[in-house]
Amino acid sequence: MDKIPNIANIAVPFYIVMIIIEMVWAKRNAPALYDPRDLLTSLSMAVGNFIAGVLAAAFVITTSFAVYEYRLFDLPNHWSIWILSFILIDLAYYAVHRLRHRLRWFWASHVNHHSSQSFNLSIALRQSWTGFFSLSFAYNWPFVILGFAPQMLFICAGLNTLYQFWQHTQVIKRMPRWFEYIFVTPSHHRVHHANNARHLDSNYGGTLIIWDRMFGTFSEERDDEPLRFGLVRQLGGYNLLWNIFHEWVSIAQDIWRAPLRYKLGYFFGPPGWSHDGSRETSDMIKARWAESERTATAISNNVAPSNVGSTSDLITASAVGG
Amino acid sequence: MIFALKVAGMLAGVLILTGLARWLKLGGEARICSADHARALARLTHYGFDGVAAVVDTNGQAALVRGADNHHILIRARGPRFISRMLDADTQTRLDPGHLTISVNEPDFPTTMLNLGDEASRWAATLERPVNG
Repeated sequence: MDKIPNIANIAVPFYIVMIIIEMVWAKRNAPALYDPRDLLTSLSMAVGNFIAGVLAAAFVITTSFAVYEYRLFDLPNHWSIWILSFILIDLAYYAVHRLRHRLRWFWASHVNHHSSQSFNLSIALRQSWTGFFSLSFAYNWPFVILGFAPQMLFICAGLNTLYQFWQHTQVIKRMPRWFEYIFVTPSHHRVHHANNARHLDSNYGGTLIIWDRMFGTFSEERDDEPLRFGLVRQLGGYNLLWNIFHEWVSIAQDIWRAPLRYKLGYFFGPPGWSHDGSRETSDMIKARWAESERTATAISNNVAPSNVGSTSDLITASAVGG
Repeated sequence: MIFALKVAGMLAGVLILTGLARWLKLGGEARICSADHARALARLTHYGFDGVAAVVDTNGQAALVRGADNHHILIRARGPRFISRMLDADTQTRLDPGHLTISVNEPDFPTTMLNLGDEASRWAATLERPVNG
């Protein structure tokens, strides 16, 4: 069990070299790409994430092998099974990643990865310390039960993580069209990290973007609308511990204050949900944005807003790339 | 022991990379250039917000934008970018000669002192007005 390579961690020297290259590029082309205080926060999160991973590793590995004892099939160590494993891990990543954005319990740890207003390679390393409490260790269990060897799944998950590193850059604008159609690219992932209303909750893919295209969550980057990165409600400072734990604190406060019958909604509901409608979920923000776009279009076309089309039409259109 | 060395190496890497970013003078401080810029920033972060008036701190570090419904948005620089908050009943304000200090009820949102000169008292008064609708 000790011999399972952690590919994402082995690649640390590569990450550092690439970040240095991007910083030098930024110096010449876009100094605001990196905010040193934000960089310090992001990299400190990476160190904490590494420590959290080591602390949880024994449990994660042991439980995976325990689950493997109850497997339905004995799948061979064959190249075709490796490819299938990689594809299934990527599909599972898509599903879990989508849940991380739609379920506040999971969002509480994933929000850390999105809380920077910067978007550069260091953001790839800006990872949570509390993923364990959002059951991140269990997402390969369905495939373990099917009979995929845990070692194989760990390696495929590591490759998936490694692939995602280069997506966190503004240096690469677009890849060739065929590549953009199949694989997740920096352009797709910039959209995922954008807080522009039209792009909220889109492009969840890890390696393959086809999942987003299949399940209606794909959104295309537009040249006519600059992206703004980070949260809908940006954090006020750079405090490391507040960055890590703020959503957990907020959940606890909401549950404490809410009437009894609404308490669970603050844990299992979507981020932004409130029992009294005092806050906004991403769906509500998109609807409000679509309404303001509809009104603006109506004014510029000199027609009544009701003739422009329904809000839901506009939301759907924007969600698939509008 | 190996684990401790790895963590120590990582921490050293963090400091080196952050130092390099500072040495390269990356980042910088964002500035709010004008009242129009402040209104545009408010509209970008609060969809449908109709900013009818704005005032910018003399250093361009912060601004206040008043909406048609008399809601106010505070915008301030955070490194090379901006953060903003819609002010609410929990917001605390203090007026000193030429300065308006605003504290929102959040642990990590810095207290913001706007150097507004002669405008300070007028904007302090508008913050006291009830919100429409």
